[in-house]
Amino acid sequence: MKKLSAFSALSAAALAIPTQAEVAPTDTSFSYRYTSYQEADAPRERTFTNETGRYQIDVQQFGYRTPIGESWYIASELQFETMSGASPTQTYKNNEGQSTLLMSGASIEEQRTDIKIAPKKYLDHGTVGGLFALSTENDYQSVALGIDGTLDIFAKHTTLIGSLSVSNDELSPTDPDLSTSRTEADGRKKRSFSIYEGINQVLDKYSTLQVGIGFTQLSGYLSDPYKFEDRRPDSRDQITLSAQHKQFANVLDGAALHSSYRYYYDDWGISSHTIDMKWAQQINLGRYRFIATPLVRYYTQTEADFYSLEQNPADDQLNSSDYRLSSYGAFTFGFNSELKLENWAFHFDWQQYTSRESLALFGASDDEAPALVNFSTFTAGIDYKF
Amino acid sequence: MISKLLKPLAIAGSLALALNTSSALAISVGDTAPNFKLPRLERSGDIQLKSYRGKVVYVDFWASWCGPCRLSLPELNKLRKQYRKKGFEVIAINLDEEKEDAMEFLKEFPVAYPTARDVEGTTPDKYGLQGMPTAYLIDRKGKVSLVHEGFKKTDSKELKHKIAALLKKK
Amino acid sequence: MRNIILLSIISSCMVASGCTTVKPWQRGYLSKDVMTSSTDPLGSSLDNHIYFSKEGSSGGGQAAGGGCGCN
Repeated sequence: MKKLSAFSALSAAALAIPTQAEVAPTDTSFSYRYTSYQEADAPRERTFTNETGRYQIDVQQFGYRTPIGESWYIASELQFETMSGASPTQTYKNNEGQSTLLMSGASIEEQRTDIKIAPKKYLDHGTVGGLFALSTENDYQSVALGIDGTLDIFAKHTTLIGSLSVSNDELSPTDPDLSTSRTEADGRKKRSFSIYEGINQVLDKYSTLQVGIGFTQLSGYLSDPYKFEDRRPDSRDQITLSAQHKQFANVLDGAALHSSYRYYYDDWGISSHTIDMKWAQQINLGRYRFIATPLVRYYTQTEADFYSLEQNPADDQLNSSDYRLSSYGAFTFGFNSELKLENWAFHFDWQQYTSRESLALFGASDDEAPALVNFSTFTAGIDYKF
Repeated sequence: MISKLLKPLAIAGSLALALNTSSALAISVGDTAPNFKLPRLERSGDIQLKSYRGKVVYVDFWASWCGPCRLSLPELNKLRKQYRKKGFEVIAINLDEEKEDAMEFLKEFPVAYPTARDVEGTTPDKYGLQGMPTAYLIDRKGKVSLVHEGFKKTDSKELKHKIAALLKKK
Repeated sequence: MRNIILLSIISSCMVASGCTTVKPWQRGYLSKDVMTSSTDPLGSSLDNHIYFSKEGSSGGGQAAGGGCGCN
């Protein structure tokens, strides 16, 4: 993936921790996942050269979770990622007013290793946990630390959730002499500070609702050294408001509708809405338990203030033509499946992501963004619990 | 001045209230264990607590979805086997809403002691159950000697001592 | 201002939990696999990793289970 600081992965991991503070789980589990991520080719009608291939990424995840003593539990994850392919270096409007996409010439091959360790202590009315994450690849290093806690009130009907995390990243772009941006970025740092507060409420025997607010502050070198004319501010303040609802439904052997919504806003001019829905359907076949989960996600974002398709913007001006800062909408359609038999669980997941300028709900622009990516992922996995 | 103190006090007070909303009428050590008459889970007939007066009884509330119950059922079965002849009995009360869930669980963790079923939840209400699982150790006179919440691997040892002590008393 | 918000959140929770009480032994449905499946740690870790690197937004919360009332 693009140089993602461990912080984001960290906040994701911290928030994935279940919030009910009962007795520490007693299961030990080993998990393995293999994921193949494939981006669709860039549109040949818009690329400057014949290079249309994009990223192909293989990810292997190893998970190990185990209780320690009577009230501690530790969750850990090791990730190995191999990335190869090309990415956009710039999109600009040519003399005919048409968006032209420049792809990086060489096909890179990179490896990234990521480790996360999260211990958690279970107390009478809540939990306290920590998170340590380390991510390393040849051109980027990231360390992150976090702390989180939950508190059960009103006879475990309500859970207060809080987490705080910080991260420190360092860039070391490959071939730093190739461009001034690479030279400039070499040795530069990126820091983040993030907090999340949420409340989880049991609504009735069959449903729960969680609402939360998050705030993140990024600072340091935030531009992309591999792109042309990419000059971003040296700070970014982000806010998220989110809600997740779960509803049990007595269909066949049990089912549940999971819905979530997130509003995002930052001081770069980007605001976004994300809606996510999953239907988890259980079907029991003898000793096998099968859960089929079709899912759909819709995402829409507005463009950053300094996003532009200007081919040669002034050197002292903030600028970026990175598609991720443009205005667009995206749909994900996917299907996750899990087959359980005694101590074993087998997973097969598939997802297709399609993004387009015209799918944006707000702030749609007339400019084309040919670098908008479509990708599909396929995951196969195994869990063993005892 | 006072209003400055009131705010944090109000928050602390409501938080304390929030943490303890439930413990009001829970049955605790020294109380007489409330009687119950419930249908059996696996066969016909009823189980009544009163009819076990004179024995040391361990009333265990469990459900198939409760993690620690996977540990407690086999352990309680062992304890019952060990002390049965001396006058010890385990009465389990299953609280699953779906009977099949309980039956499936018992296939995986079979027990020799009687299991009753309480779908309405009137018995755990009577006892003021705070969490799952919870068990009540009752002496020969029908008084609660121990309220045991949760179940960890090391709990059997502690229970053995308490049961043996109660069995010695008349 | 912040204290008012905090107090109103806590009191609305009090009202909410007063309306439908779910006893500790009624947590079975909330603990079912279908209810907890969306928080598969490896799956969500990877999904978030992909979305945060391929889109302009990051962060957000994750759904939690309903509590099994287990001590």
